[in-house]
Amino acid sequence: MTISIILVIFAVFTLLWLIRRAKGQYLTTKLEDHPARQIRLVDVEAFRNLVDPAEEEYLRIQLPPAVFRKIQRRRLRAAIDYVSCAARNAALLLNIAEAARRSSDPATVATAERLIDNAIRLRLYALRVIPRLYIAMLLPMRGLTAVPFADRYEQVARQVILLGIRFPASPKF
Amino acid sequence: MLARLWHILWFVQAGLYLALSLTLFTRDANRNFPVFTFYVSWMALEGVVLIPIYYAPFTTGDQYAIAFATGIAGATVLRFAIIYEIFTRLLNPYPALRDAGVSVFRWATVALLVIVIALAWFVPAAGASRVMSVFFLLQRTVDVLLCGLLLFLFAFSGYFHLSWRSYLVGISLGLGVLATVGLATASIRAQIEPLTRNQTADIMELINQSAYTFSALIWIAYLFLPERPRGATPTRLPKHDLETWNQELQRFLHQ
Repeated sequence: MTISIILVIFAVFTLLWLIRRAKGQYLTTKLEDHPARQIRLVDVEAFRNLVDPAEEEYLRIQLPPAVFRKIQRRRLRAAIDYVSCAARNAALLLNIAEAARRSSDPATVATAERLIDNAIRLRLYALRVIPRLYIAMLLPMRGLTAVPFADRYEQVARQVILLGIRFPASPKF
Repeated sequence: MLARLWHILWFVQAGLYLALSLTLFTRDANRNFPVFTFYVSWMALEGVVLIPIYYAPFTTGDQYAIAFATGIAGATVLRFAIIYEIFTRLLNPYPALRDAGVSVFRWATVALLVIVIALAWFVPAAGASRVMSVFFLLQRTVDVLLCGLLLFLFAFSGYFHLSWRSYLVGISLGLGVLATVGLATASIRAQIEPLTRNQTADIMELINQSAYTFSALIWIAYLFLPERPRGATPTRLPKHDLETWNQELQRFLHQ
């Protein structure tokens, strides 16, 4: 009977969650109204440095193992923050690009579609990279394989610039 | 009193599904959502067939049971097909996500199947009426799977900020109502189903029937709601961010 009660509670929460999500999909939320304001800058060079295997190797040689482990964990924690921030930016850009997709200018639509494609790929990639970084945090001596995340983010940034130039916007900002 | 209400709701439900089915065909929605249209038509047909069998004096209980079982089996298969239809419709405008999305969907289904089989194994039916308890155990298993898939659907689209067409939201919400109410009532009935119908069973039946009626109302309402364009209102990207990104890009290109 306990499991039945748990299932009833699960059903109630699922229904409430579905209603909330459905409402969110239909009504414009505050966050979706001004996504561009919420974009946070990502220092791509700093991120590259954090996940650079050569940099990691240099630190491994220079530092005592205990200190290296501590430093490496902090570096990886920072890298996770960067990836999360980039993935969040990609989500916000998806909203902007979705609006640009409705433009009457075919070039803007094409740019918006490319941006959507790459922003989605970036978020997919973030899903794979973050667990890898956490594993590397647990086993800092194992060494990190190359993470080409920064390249993908820069690709998205290039398309944002293109879209920013092309997309005719209302003077809201 | 409860039984009378249940009968009224049954007639209302059959009428609503019939009306919805006709509306879907007249509005050409069957082209965009063929599986959903088929499901609604199936439910309408189920009502049209079951009601006369139930009330006709020359039909037997066994005949009703066979018709009922056929109806519910078909509806169950179609509900899963609808979720897949929603998922593929959702991924259509996003070619980058299609392959990965379908693959993740399959893995999520496999994981949920393992969970529901384990649940059915470790928490078997325990009601006094063996046949009905097993029936509700099966319904509970199916509904847990449906709820899990719907949760996955919303979580997945939420993570990738996918744009939903209004009617897809409506279909999902209606299915969600059916699956969650079905799960809650089946979980209780699988454990306490009595040999002869009592008031608790009548209340559960009434709640379940109301869910069917409510879902049909949701689908009808969403069918007439205007399509809301998704995405942010057209706004320029913040100038300072663009400039900084531009600088980053210049630096990158000159490396």
